[in-house]
This record gives sequence, structure tokens and C-alpha cells, in this order.
Amino acid sequence: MLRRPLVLLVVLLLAATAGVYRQELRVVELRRELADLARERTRLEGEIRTLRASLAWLTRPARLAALAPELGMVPARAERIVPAEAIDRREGLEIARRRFPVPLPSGYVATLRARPPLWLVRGGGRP
Amino acid sequence: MTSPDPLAPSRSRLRLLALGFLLAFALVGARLVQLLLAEPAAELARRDGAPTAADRRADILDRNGRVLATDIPSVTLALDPLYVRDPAATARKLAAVLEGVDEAALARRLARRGSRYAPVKRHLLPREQRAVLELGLPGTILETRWRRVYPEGDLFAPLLGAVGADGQGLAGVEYAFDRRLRSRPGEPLRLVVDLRVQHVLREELEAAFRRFRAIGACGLVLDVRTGDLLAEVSLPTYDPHRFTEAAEEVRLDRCTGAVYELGSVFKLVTAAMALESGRVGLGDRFDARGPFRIGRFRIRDVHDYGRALTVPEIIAFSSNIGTVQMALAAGGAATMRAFLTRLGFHRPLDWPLPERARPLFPRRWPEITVATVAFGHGIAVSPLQYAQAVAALAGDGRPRRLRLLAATPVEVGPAVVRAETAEALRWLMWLVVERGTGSKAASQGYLIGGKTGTADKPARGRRGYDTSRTVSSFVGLFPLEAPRYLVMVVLDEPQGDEGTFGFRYGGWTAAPVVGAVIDRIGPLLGVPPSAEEARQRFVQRLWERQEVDPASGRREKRLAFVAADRP
Repeated sequence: MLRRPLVLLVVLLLAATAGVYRQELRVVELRRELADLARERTRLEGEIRTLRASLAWLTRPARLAALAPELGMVPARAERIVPAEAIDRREGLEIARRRFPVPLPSGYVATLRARPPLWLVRGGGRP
Repeated sequence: MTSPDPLAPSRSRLRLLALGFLLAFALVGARLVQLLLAEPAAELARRDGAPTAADRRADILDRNGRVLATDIPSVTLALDPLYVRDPAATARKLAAVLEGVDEAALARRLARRGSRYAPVKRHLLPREQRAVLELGLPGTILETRWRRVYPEGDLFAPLLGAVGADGQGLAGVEYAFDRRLRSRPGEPLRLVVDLRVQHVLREELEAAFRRFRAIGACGLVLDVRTGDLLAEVSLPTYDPHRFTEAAEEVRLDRCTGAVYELGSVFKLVTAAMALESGRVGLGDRFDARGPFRIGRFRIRDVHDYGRALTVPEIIAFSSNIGTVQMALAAGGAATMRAFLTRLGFHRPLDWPLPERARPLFPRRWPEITVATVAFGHGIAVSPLQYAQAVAALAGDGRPRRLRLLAATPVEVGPAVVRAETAEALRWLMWLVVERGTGSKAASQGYLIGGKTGTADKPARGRRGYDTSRTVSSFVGLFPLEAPRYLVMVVLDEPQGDEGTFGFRYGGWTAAPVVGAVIDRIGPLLGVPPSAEEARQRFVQRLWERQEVDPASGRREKRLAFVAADRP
């Protein structure tokens, strides 16, 4: 009389053990997958950080100052700074919003904006 | 009498068995719960030895978001000696592909039995890493760790400081904000410094430092309205990637961690005190015939003027005797001590970094101390502390708390001088550059005011001063019509050259640096050039005449202040 429930209990225990084992396998797989993803994320983050550090290094002021003369750039002088309210005929500055492709000596084509002529910035008529 | 139940033993065995099953089920259930609450993946990755975002420090940025310090992944190579059969051959192979590896030392490390870890090289380059993998050596351990890098190199040392091998802050911002940088790695720490201004200041200061063969130099740029430290350079400096190799004197931040008797630049403080006291006015004159005696001490000027000097002449020509008399006329010890205390010269600078020197403030105030302090001797403060005071005195009269972090709110203290005193001081500073000892700081585009300083250094091993060693300085303010920025340069023991006719005065060595810095950073900071009308407002208050001194036959400038309301 007691044998049947006992067998049932054993079967149930075996089934539960198999279920746990399967779940454990699945969890192990998921953990591995997540760990891989975490590693990948860290790797990509590391790459991004390395690229940002490289960008900072390549655009450091000392390097840009050395390269600027090759591009025909000169340091800004005080007289080039004009308060916004001193600029007349702002509609004439529309030209500054246009972009032009400019081939550089390196072969790279940079997109530059036009500098408004001084007579526009300072006001008055065309010379 | 009833017979005992024959099934009783079986029932108790069954109960025992049921209890065993219950326990087994409970264990299985507990394990299920444990698996459901599995550890996060990041924890797993950490156990694998891979670095996670939580392991790194937060980036440090300048006010415009430029990266000043960041962490990048770096690979360290080590070997497990247990797997190394031939230490000498392994060391030879590795030394051939890795730069800077000592073959003999590595062979010795690999031959050490009992150890399971022999470090080979840190911070492997990608090509070195590839070469090591191609060697296929047994027992190779490649570990990835975060490495702190400073893309601008030594530009911001010692302000930023450096970190140690384990990533702990050792100096500067890295030390002061160590916990913040570690606990919130995802949130960058934004400073108020400006990379562009720092570059300009460094370039100009380093040129002067080398040219005048100084033993040290400090330069700083301060925003007068907010108290922001835009740039700070201390020379000589160190590579933050090799902090531990730097000597103690190289690690010193000369702008905050060193105190100097600044000499005549301090006359601005004396002038502000005298004008604020109400006992001295811009129209007053003081007898500048030397020497001026106080007890057994004699005070002299570089040139004996042999006449009474007006207050503008005293500051423009930097007369010690005139300044001493101004200080005494203003109230002497009590007035001076109270004024300097109000400016905070009696206590260390309110500054978040550990590099913070305590000023040397006189304990006793006999008349001779008042006299020497009046022209910047007998009191030693850090350049940044002095700059903060001048920014208040010549700005709007109210000191700003120095700011280093962008998140710190701007704090304005109570007024230390009236607005009229600040305006008078600006006029005197303009006169110094326009007609006085600071003419070499003049700018093409901006109205600059300033003051020169040349102080003898205390003698080594004896009382008194050593006239062969000086500290030359210049403090400048621009644009003077609406002061926005203060630039200060201090050169420690500069040597004159042909270009300065051998002079090492602040007017010859430090003033040109400040002028050059202002000419370059003004446009960068978007400061429009000073208008001619603004300059005229300063010129209108100046009375001047060239006179020939009958005694020496020398042509002399006579300067005086003309009140604005005078016709």
C-alpha cells in the first residue's frame, strides 16, 4: 500500500533533479553568454576610450599650432574680435553659412565655411 | 491486553524516509532559487580577470569638454614559471620582441621555483601583444587592466597630479578627488581650466623660463568675475605617466605649494590699503629722498629720486621709500595687519588640492615689519593667493572663492575695498604699464594694467637677503576698462641676458610674458579689443611733464593724477 506513493515520490524527485540539472545547464550557458557580452562591451568601451584619447592627443594645441601654418592659418588677433552688436547687415553674413569642399595638400577634402569679408562685418558699403 | 501494532516500526521508518525526501526537495528548491538569482554578468567578467567599467576612474575634462585624463585598456604580460622549461631561452625570445625588457633579469625571475607569477612587461603595444601570442609560450598570462593616460602629457602637471600603479591618486586633482573619481567612473569630473589658455601660458612661460635660465617659474590665468582658474603652469614639471621618477622639487606646484616674498607687486596691496583708509589720496605726495631710516634699518630705492613723489609716481616707478611712507600714513601696523587679514593672507589658501603652502605671515608688527611688508618683503604668500587678492582689489572690490571644479558655485565674499578704491587701483595699474616699469607688458589690442616685482631672496644660512638671487614677477589685468582676466607670472632666480641688458627685473623678464599671453588668449576667449575711448578715459586723468633735473641733468618724467571732474 505504501509502495506506490514511495515510487511516486522517487519519480517526482528524479524528475525534479533532471529539471534542475537542465535549468542549471541553461543558466550556465546564459552566464557564459552574458560574460561574453560584458567582455565585449568592456572591449568596445576600451576601444572607444582609446580612440577618444588618440583624438585628444592628435588634436592637442601644440600639434595643431604646428600644423596650422601649412593650412595657411595664423593666430587670431584682437582686432578680429567684434562684439555681435557691432555687426551691421547681418543678413549679409548668410554667405558664412554656406559650405565649400576644399581639397587639402594631404588629399583629404575638407568642408569649410566661407569667412565673411571684413567690409561686411564692419559695416559700410562694398569697397 | 492489546498486542503491539506490528506495523509501528515500518511507520516510523516511513516517516523518516518522508522527512528525507522533504529535505531533498527543500535542497532542490533552494538551488533553483539560487540559480534564478544568478550573479550579474559583470561580476562574472570580473572573475574572469577582465576589467569592468567599475574598475576604472572617471575622466577629467577641461571646461570645454576636452579630455585631460582618461583610462584606456592596457595589457600586462606575465609568465607562470611552472610551465617554463628553459628560462634562458624563453627570456631571450621575449626580449627579442619586447622593448625595454632586461633579458638576464627576466631569466632570473623565470628560474625562481615556487613562484607561479613572473611579471614580464606592463602596457604592451598591440604589435608586442601579437608577437607574444605568435611565440606560443606555455604559461603565458596576458592581463588587461585600465591604465590612466594624460593625452596632453605634462601640460597640466602638477595641477592634475598622477596615479600610482594600482590606480590610486598620488597628487593634484587625482589625489584630492580620488574617492569621487573611483566611485563614479561614468561621470567625468569637469574642471574650469581651459586647454587652449593653458597651452598658450605654458608656451610663453617655458620660453622665458629657458631664456632667463630660471630655477622655477609659475604662471596663472584667473577669471576675475568668477574666480575660475583658467590656466596654471608650474616649471620645471614632470610627466604624469612617470610620476614616481620625478624629483621632489619637480613635483612642487610653485603656484600653490610654494610661498614667495613677491617684492614690489605687493605695492598694489599697500596702495589699495592706503587709498581705502581714506588717509591717502591719489593727489598726495611723499618725500622719496633716500635712504629712509627706521631704527637701525635703512630703506633705499633702486634709483634715488631725490624729491617728493606723487602717489601715481610711487607706484609707476615702484618706489620703496614712497610706498613705506604711504603705509605708515595709512595707519601703520594696525591698519596693515587688519587689511592683510581681511584679504586672507594670514591663513592657507582655500584650495581643494593638497599642494597648498601656508603663508609666512609676520607674528609681530614693529614699524620695520610694516615698512618691509609694504614693498613685499617679510611676508611670503603663494602666487595664486596673491592673484586672488589682486583680482578682488582691482576688480569690484569683492573677493571670489577660487574655483577649480565646474560644479562649484561662484561665491562672492564681502567687499574688502570700495568700488572707488578698486577703480583708482586700476588707474595706477594702467599707469605702471603706460608710463612706468611695466611698459614691456603693453598690448596692441587691449588696455592692460599691472605691476612689476623684483624681490631679493632670503640668504641661505645667514640673516638678511641675497641680492644675487631674485624672484621676478608681473601681475596683469585685462581688459582694464572692464576687468575680466588676471595673468600672473613669477620667475624664480632668472638671469638677465643681452636682450635685457643683463637686467633681471620683473619689468624686463616677467612683464613681456604677460603681455604676450594676453595678446594670444584675448582673441581665444572672445575679448573684443579695447576701444580708443576707453583708453582716453584713463589718459584724461593723467598729468605729465618731462623735466630736466638740475642736479643730474637727467630728463625725468613727472606724473600726477587729475581728478575726472577737474576742468
